Amino acid sequence: MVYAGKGFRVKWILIHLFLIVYAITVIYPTIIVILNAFKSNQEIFNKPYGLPSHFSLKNFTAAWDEANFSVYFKNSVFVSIASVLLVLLLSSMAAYVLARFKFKGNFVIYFIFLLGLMLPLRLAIIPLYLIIRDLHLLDTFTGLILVYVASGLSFSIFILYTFFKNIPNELLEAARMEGANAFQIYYKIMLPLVRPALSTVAIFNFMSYWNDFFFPYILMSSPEKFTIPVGIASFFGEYTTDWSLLFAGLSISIIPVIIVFFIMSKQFIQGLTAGAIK
Amino acid sequence: MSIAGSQKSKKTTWIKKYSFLLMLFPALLLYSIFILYPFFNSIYISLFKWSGVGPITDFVGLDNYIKWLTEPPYSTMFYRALGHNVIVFIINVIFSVFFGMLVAFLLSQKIKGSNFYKTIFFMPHTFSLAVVAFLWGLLLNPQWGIVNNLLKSIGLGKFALPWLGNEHTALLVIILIGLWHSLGFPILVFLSAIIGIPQSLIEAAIVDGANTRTIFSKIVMPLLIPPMLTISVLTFIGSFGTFELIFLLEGAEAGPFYSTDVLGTLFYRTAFGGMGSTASGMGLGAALATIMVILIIPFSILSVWFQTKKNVEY
Repeated sequence: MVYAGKGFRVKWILIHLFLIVYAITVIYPTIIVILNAFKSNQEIFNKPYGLPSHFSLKNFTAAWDEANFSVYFKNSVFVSIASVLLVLLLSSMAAYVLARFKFKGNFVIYFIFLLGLMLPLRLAIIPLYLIIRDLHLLDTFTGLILVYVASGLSFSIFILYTFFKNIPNELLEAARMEGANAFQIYYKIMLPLVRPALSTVAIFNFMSYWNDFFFPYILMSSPEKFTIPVGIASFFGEYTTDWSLLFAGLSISIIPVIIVFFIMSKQFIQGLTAGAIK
Repeated sequence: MSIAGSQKSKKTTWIKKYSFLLMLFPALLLYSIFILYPFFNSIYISLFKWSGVGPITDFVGLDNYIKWLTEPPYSTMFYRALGHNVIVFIINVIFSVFFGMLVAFLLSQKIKGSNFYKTIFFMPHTFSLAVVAFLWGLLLNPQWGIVNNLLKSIGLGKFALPWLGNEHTALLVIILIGLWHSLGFPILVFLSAIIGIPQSLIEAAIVDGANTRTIFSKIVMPLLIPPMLTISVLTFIGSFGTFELIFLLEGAEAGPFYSTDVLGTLFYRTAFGGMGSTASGMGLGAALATIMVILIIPFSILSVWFQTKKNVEY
């Protein structure tokens, strides 16, 4: 790639042109949604593309307060964070035991956890729904969080297992000599060492909980307990023609995600493609 | 006395020795109740005629399966939905593999801003499918939707269709919306594979007098086969599990005239939406779910196998 002839330059221009066109098809719809969130219904109808005549936050406050987005947002934050913390705790303890202790059935249990990677849980929704109902956990955050934690275990254990396996034995032996028990070793030595894997697991699970529509849609029935994806569905059913409000609602759902994604895009990409990329 | 004492200490050492199992227990318990049991129970329910209320007593053997596979109207719905899943898969896999590889190849050419492009392309992948569905639902609104407006303004007004309300275009448009959401993923998988190709290998080939075509077909291509397989398998699993976009944009009836009905919406309707007079929804639904699991599982096993292989290499 030392030469720089005319054909060479044309090639670069074509490559950039192609990439820019694709980037616009990705970004433009997103920007349109955000821009229209500042407009009145009349203005959306008349000039849907341009900049708004003035940037008023009226639609945003209306969606946030009247249309319950503040509640959906709070619920999403609570359910996602609680589920991530629990799945991190349970999966790291289990992966540590499975990777570092020899006992009968060790490998069988690991394999059974791996099975969960192959079974799409939503196909078992009928019995799952019945169990949650019989435990009187329908329409409760507890029920939803338990389902999320259980559904995140397989992937998390799978990722963490390899990391625990690769920790050198000497570290453990030294701790054991000093009389540390299994839990202390896990908590004080192992966890800090697998921190990069924990953040991958945390991001992967957080995004799948935050974005999930299916389980809260089936398990939750009171609007004050909806998370954002279900909230937005009920919101679109309620305000079908109030476009400015709909655009504002969509914007409230995507702007935080976009901001966090651009700040931590490296971690996000790593977390969300974990497993598929070495 | 001494015997009792030694027994006691034996017991405490045993407890001490296996106390680590306590750390495995909570995960195993949750996993058994909310993952393993539902799957086995789903197979059990699929052998009964059961509407969802009252005790499960009406054992019908494989009847529910036979209905889906051979008896109209069930089989008609089943094969129509299955056909749509196949269409979804074919279009998705072609785009994910070829377009994904092309974009990844261009991004690997040390161009300016390649990181920026990469981030942009991946962005929609972080959106909830519910958000994506309504975002495009608004943009494709037939009354004033931005897409049709755009078509009119560039003189293509006759193509300003009610895209999602037309039985000939609805499924295709939904597939494209899905691709808009997901294409960043295969791009990144291919990109990391291309970047991973050792430069020294290519340089050695150039020294040996190999031309671009030989380098591509003998070095680059073989190294891209594993990510191609990974993407194809993941696309298969995704395509046969597709549900949200269709359910949210076309409803549980997967309109217009069932033209977007896939196994996911058919399953949802059967289990939760009621299927008319038969009143055996849960049994039939569980049978359909089991058929879907059987369809998907060989591919799931492949995908897990690819992943574990990678981890071992690593």
